[in-house]
Amino acid sequence: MLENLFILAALVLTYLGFRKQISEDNKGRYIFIVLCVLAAAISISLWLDFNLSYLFDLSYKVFGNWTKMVIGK
Amino acid sequence: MNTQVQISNLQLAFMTGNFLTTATLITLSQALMDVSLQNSWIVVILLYAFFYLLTVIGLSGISKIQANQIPFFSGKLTINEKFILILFIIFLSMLLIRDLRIITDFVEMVLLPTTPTFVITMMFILAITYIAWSGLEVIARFTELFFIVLIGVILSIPITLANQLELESFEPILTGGAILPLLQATFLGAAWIGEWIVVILILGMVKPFKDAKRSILIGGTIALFLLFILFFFQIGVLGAQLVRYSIYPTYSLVQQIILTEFLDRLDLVLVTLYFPSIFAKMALTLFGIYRSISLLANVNLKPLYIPLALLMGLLSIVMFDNKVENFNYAIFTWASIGLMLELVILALFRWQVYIKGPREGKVSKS
Repeated sequence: MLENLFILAALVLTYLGFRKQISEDNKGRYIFIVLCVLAAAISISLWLDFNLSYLFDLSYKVFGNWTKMVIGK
Repeated sequence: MNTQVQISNLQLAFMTGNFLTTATLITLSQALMDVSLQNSWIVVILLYAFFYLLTVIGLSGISKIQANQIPFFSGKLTINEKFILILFIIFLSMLLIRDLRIITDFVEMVLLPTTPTFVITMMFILAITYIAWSGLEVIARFTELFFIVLIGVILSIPITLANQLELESFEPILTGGAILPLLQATFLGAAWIGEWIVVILILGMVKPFKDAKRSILIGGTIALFLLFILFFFQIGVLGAQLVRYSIYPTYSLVQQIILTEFLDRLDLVLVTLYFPSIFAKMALTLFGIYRSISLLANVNLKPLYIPLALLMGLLSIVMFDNKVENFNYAIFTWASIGLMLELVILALFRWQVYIKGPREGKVSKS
């Protein structure tokens, strides 16, 4: 819970602290929002104990196993 | 993006050297020695050959182009350049996630065992965001300052551990079946050595850029020499059988340094001297991701650093359930995916240099 609050507070404070710069840059604003939404979503998933290690599993199943095959493990 | 920023060739050499040394020395030797045992010190020589070939071939046309023809610095981006930048974002994000988790796990296991992973990660995020936010010149100066310290620390190892070196640990050298494990271990380490390609993003800021290839070669040579010292002494002092089952062999090695009775925890001092170097590496990686996004979307908004760094920090926590998963990712997954991305990026960069440089030169002459 505290982790989640920390992340959300950091994002909100960044926006409030730099809102003039952010609002002046059109493309930058959209990228900022996308990054904030992604960070907030992952932060909430961390709080709710959602397992995101499938990101690791996926890459490991494809590339990790291939490496193991090459080195004969 | 401000192209007035300039770094020297010496700084480029140090940044390359620092990039190749800092994360590599934490865990890679364990994986290499698991494959090629006491012959692992030879792997560094093979890795150097790989590094040399990659640099010479990848940057072969760089001296023929003008400053305004350097990819990413020549005005409007081509499709090829945009594709390279997208690959850079993927490559550097995976690299930063890996390094963050490696160093967090190290701190959690060795220095702060009761501190939660999240807190350690956020401390690192804060430090690297602060350095990266300050810009490339600051990263370059910071690296220049602390990489020299790291070089000094590693160069002191042969003096301080010479009395514990056992040459029998290297026997038998290169027996009949040793060649294949050596090549397999070289494959495991190749992706770590190819990470220098990050400096491609900042080539246009190096003055004079025509010497950049030589600087990268010098930086890589320093890095691999330092890794050679570390691997050689790990085998000679600890023994390959111990290193292959050790989680942090380099830390185990520096724990063997005993200078006097009252300096029994010298390892903590050396770890403290090492930390700024890994901060510099991660700051350059974060800067690379930011620069790729800036160039791709044509934005110049520094506050992007904060959500970007937080996202990377969070991913480094949620992607791996435990230290074993991170180890498998850093060693096995990274060996293939990292090398593949590096080769594709370098090939596309070489193609970009080819179509920008000599061909335009020929047209202008005619």
